[in-house]
Amino acid sequence: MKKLLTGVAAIALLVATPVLAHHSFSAEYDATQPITLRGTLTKMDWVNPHGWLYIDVRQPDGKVVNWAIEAGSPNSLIRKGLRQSDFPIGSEVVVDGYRARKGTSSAIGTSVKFADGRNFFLGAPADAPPSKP
Amino acid sequence: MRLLLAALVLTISASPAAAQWLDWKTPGVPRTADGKPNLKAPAPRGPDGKPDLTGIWQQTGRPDARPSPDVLQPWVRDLAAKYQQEFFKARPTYACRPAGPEADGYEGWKRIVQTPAAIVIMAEDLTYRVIHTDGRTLEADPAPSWAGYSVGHWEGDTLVVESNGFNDKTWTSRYGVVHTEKLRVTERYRRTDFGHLHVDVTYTDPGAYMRPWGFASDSALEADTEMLEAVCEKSSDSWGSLSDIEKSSVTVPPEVLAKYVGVYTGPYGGGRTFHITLEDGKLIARIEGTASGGLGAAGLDPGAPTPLVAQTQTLFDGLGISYLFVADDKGAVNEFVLMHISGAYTFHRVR
Repeated sequence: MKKLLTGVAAIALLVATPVLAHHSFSAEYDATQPITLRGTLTKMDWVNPHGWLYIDVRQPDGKVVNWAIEAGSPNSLIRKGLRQSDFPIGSEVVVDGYRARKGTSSAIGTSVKFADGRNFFLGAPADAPPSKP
Repeated sequence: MRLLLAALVLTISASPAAAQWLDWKTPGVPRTADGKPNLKAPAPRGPDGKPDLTGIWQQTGRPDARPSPDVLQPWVRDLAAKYQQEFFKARPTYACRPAGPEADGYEGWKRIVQTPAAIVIMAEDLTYRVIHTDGRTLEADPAPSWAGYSVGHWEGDTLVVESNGFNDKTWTSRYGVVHTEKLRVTERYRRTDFGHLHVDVTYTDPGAYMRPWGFASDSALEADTEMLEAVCEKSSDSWGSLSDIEKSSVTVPPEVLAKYVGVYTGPYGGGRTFHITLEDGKLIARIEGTASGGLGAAGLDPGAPTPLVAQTQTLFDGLGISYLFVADDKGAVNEFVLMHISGAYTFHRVR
């Protein structure tokens, strides 16, 4: 657990701190409900300050549920030269994060990894300190 | 961890496809010998001899525009406390409405275009302001609006902007500070050199504040790039409130709470020190000094204690921010992870 959390923190240090929406974590998400989701990218809302990814996740009972994942800031990815086309629909995605408090199929991602190793969060300059909470 | 590093390298090596708008060289920018923008060159001047504020600007730092509670009339103070209980979800920008005169509206990127008759400030959320400099004065009875009405004049090299005619749907501070339609805003803009813009902002509202209050904002010129839009598309309608946190609280034995007591430092908020104490059986967090963005119990009191409400035996909620205490293999607690919407931050025990 400790190791995992250190990893999460390390990722977070590189997260783009978006210009807007510096709001409380607990308003929307439940820190007691960490979650890991594996699925297929079905849609990407390339919106700011936080982008949204939608992934189809196959449940143990075989049913497929579409999850909405709040992710990093597209503007910081754009400034790194990445574009929406770099994250094609149908890509396999592994998301670590926390579930929404409302119990809907949505979560905030602390890590959104694509099969090629890219993390949707790594859009900020590598040396950007999280100085604007 | 190795995978993470691989991912990092991969992302950083993904270079822009071609030099396009985001690295287009801004014409008219003085440059040093190595071709970089010389941000310390003198400020440019327009045909009228006045400083020209034209350019793309990004706020540096983040001013903590939080009035002292005694500046506010009691009803404004009470509303701020109520809004805090709701995680400030009524804040106009959280609900995807324009920021209007709110202090945090000075944050982020702005494009200023100056002509002799008017100065236009465009924001990345696609709102704009017009500051008339053609000699007109403020209207006596303006129709209330989100952006208000602004006129400017020069006092030496300082642009002085007076604004009125705001509706009462916006805030002046993200800490839940409202205003009335009597709000007047005074701004004093100074482009101190080519690359730096300073503005002092003062809010005056006899309907809401006991006396004027304000803050200062600094911005740096963003040369050789382009402003990108950042539009709010997901409102705060579905947010919960602090009462939800109380409802889901659990009991933690005092001997467990005692293990969490200590002083911790970490990177959130540009570097902060937290004092975790146990008072009357309750775990309390205090930020050392007056940290920007730190919330006290009433939202406007940065030095005040933040009660930590247990959600599990190790996870606590402190006014919307989660604190997860982490024990090492021997059961000693030497760090906590602070969880904010922008990410997770590890704080290490210093004593």
